[in-house]
Amino acid sequence: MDRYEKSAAFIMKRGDAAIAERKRRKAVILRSTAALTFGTAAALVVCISLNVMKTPRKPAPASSGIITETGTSAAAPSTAAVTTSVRTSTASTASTVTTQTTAAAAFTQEPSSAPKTTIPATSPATSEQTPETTTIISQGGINMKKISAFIAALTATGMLSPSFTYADASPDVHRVLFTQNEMNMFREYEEGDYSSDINGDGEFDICDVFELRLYGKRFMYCFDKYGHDQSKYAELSEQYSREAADRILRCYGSEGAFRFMPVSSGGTDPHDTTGATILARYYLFKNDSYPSDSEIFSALESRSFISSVDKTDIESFAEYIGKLRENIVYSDTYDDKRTYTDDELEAFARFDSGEVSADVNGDGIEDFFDGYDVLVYHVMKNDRGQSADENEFFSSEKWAQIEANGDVTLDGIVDDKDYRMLNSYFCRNTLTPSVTLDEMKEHLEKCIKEKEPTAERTEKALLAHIAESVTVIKGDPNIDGRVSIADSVAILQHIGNRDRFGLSEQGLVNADVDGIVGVTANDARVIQSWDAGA
Amino acid sequence: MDNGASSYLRFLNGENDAFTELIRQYKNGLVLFINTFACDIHIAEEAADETFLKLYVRRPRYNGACSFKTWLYTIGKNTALNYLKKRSRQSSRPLEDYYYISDETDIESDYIKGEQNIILHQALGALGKDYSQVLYLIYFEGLTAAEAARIMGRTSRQVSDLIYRAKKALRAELERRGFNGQI
Repeated sequence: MDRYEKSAAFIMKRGDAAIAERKRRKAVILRSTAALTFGTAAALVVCISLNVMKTPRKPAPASSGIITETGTSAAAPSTAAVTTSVRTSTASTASTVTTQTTAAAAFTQEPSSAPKTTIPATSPATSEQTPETTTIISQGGINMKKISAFIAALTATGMLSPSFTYADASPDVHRVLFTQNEMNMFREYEEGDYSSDINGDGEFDICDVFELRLYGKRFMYCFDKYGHDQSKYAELSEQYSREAADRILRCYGSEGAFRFMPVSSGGTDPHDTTGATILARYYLFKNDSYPSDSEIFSALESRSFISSVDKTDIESFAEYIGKLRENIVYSDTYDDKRTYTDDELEAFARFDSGEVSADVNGDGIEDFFDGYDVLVYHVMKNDRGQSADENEFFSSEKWAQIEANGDVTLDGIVDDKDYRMLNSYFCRNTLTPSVTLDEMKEHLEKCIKEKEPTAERTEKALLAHIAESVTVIKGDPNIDGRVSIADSVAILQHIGNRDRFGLSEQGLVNADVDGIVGVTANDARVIQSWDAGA
Repeated sequence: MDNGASSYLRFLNGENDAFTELIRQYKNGLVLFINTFACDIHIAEEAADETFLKLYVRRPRYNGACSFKTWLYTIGKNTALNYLKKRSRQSSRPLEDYYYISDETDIESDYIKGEQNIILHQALGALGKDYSQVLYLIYFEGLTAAEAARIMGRTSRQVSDLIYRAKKALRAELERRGFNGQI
């Protein structure tokens, strides 16, 4: 056994133990739940049985007049109902009566050890029959009040039993329903592309949700006040250092810039696009429940925050979490009949009639992947500015196919709204798509282009590259190894839109050619003149 | 589908041998990567084991949006950071948490061969964590800048700048150590 096999064996042994423990806890919970359910059902049966049981009647002289019962052997079954309804007050069968032995044959009830109901006949006594009286003796009335007390006692006993002392918090058991959009975001948090550790303490907890929500509120305040120009967001920059802001912004993806996030289904504000609610839902996903108010106050008090925080911020946050708590949808309460908007219904009608094809990617099948491919197309084109040739996923033909057929909302652009519309259409009445993970992976494998082989990287290559990196090619800001008009354009683009076309550090060094420190349009002019002169 | 992805898929389908293959293929690299910020090879090994343990127990889904190595290293980085944090809080741990694998092979010394490489790696170790991390991912794991960016939680542009600065810093460090051998 080599060291890798030893290591694998050890890890698998630890893993098996962890899995077994998890299963054991689940089994205990299930047994306890079953026991309680059975116990409650048994208690109910006992109560009902006690209610209908009669005490045996003493034989009495015909004229004893102890009890009057006008019954005949021909008593119809319907009279049983009459008696029953007369006898009962709050429970339909919660009364006891004595058994009339002489009428045993007259009743339609089958002879059994079960308590029998003595029923006075509605028809008057005939001349052949002697009216008999029967003493109705109550053997202890059972009513709903006693049943409720019994069940409460049973439940209390069950709760105190050792098997109920903990609940399985296995993250595999999700009773809460999440949308596919949310699950996609959770995957991004799990795999690290989107950071959930807002405050940078190495952990994800409710404090991170608090920080993001507070940042989101302040950002939206500035956005409403100043618009898109974030350089004017003085109130925000006063509160957050550059480092703190950078860390928060990583929750919006590896690009590290604020972006309006998808609206979460579990949110209270249909316009909350700051990502705070999705992060809160991620907390719910990880922990199976939101913290209580006292837990929130306990977690946030005496914490150091990345901006100034006062008591009203914490109280407001507790109220916000409380509303999220109220909006949780569980699988056993989910209403299958989701309400669709008029736009959705119109779009569905277009799909159903064939006026618009839902097979956007042209693979011959209308399924979730049509929506997924529209989403990827939207990200590649609208977010990253890629073209058919530059994108990493689709061939040019497929790109063109999606571009031509993806605008299912008929608003003139293929974007995430089209993805959501297709998703709604395919996922009608459910919150998750009906494809398996393997199907998803197989589909992605077909889509992803083959990557170009990377050059061999070794110590030798690193040493060689170190030598190269020192070489500065003046006039080559785009670092393509030559000086051309493209370098002039690159400088002007850098000046005009640094966020999107910013030069790298080496590019900035290469671009500064006019003898004046700093990259300006004059450097672009100089390079242009070089190109013209050459 | 690359080898790692196919091995992981086979593992998810119930083949435990495939899990061993994953460890054989990726453990060394993962340990060395974690070592760039853990700065202790033994802790890096433990953190790498925690990463594989997480894969074994939780079986997270791999959707192929990036290479398997990138995906694994991202999980490894997050797991290692949590592990380092937990470890810093614990003053004592049960004996069962420790295990000893015969060190007939030493990952570090095996990897570093030749005096020139030794000096290079010593210089790398003297750099800041971000610098050593990015150079390790690009030059020793063969990842692209985009993949390294994904693991490090940065943009591709940031990683490009980081590579540039890291190489400059490494050159300066090598010169400081008097390394003048055929750069």
